[in-house]
Amino acid sequence: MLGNLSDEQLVEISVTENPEAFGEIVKRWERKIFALCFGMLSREEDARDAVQETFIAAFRNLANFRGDAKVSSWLHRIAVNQCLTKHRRKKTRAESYLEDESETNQQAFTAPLTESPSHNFEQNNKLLLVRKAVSSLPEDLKQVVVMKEFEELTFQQISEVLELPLSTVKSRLYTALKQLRMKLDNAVVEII
Amino acid sequence: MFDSNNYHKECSFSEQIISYVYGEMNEAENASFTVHISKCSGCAEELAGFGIVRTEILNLKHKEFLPLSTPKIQIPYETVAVEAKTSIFTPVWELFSFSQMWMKTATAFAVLAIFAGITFSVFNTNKSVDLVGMVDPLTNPTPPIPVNETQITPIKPTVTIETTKTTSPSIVKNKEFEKVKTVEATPKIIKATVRTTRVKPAKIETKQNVTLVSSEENIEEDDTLRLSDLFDEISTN
Repeated sequence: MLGNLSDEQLVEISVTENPEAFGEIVKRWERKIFALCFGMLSREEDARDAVQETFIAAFRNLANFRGDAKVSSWLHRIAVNQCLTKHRRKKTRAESYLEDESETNQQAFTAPLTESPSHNFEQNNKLLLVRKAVSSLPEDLKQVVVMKEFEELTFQQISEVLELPLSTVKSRLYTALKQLRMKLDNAVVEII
Repeated sequence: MFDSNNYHKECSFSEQIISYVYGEMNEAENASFTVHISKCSGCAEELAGFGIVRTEILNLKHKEFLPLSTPKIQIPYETVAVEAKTSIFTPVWELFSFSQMWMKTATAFAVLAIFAGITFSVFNTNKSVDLVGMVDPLTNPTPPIPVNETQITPIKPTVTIETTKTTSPSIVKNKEFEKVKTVEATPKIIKATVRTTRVKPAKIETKQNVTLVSSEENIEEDDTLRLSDLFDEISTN
């Protein structure tokens, strides 16, 4: 029955009648929000924490949702803020890239050997480079890339979530792709 | 930072590349851009570069994100309460929403009584002001205030002013002006704040005479008391 209702109706029911109606909203959006958090934070554990915190924060503030924007936009905004907060905390704790690298290398060693070891190594190196390149983008560019590539939102949806003009969204994506291309080209040159 | 200047300037189509890359163009735009790429090497080269980047990102997504299971979100419905923003009036509303009917009525009457009392006392205070602070201007004349170097805070007059016509018909015929305002009450001393330091250039109305109006015109009466009116009245007395 709840599955037929819109997000906005579910929020209303959660506030007035049945708080557990919020579970339906969670079910609808958890994968997308997880994709956003994973793309923004590049680490599975951080992304899982951020998703959990996003939905709890949304549930806490459900009564303050005024309906000016869509529920999905509101959730995305909360998630982006959670990711930025996590990222800032991470910086202050001075968690270095070394930790990420060691984790990735470990994954590379434990990966199933369906291909030759050299091929696996090359593939993992490439993934590491791309992940690093995406991570090193400025936050405003990274958000747009992740929403487009990981969540597969349209330009219109991104502009609603981020409350930006459509032209700005396109321009940011263009700049992000250009920067990524430069970073990847430079990385390949360094390896060679 | 993120305006159209980011696009490469050699080509006017460069702004459309991003829509083309993600397939968010209408058919007409798509067709014209496809034709354009075959002619413009700059756009074609950029498009190829973006294609490579997109392939790498999608590869990352397929290898690292898609195999991950969706996290199980636990919302502790019992412990996490839905919090509404509280305003300063919330306690008042709560009082009204949970109290019994007689209590609401009593509170409403009490509020009304307090309001009426305040209004009454304010009204009375305004009336009694006329009797307070009255000084005989002959025995205790108001000292002149050095107008040029002072700043006078405007004070709302409390002296009752009645307007009476003392028009002489002959004067009216000649369309001369007449004095229409006379102050009947003894003027009270108005406290004027005199500052010796000059903060701003003094903005003082330099009205020398009392207001003169033509008797033939229907003119709105200006009830505001001016300091100059008082001085004139004092000097005539």
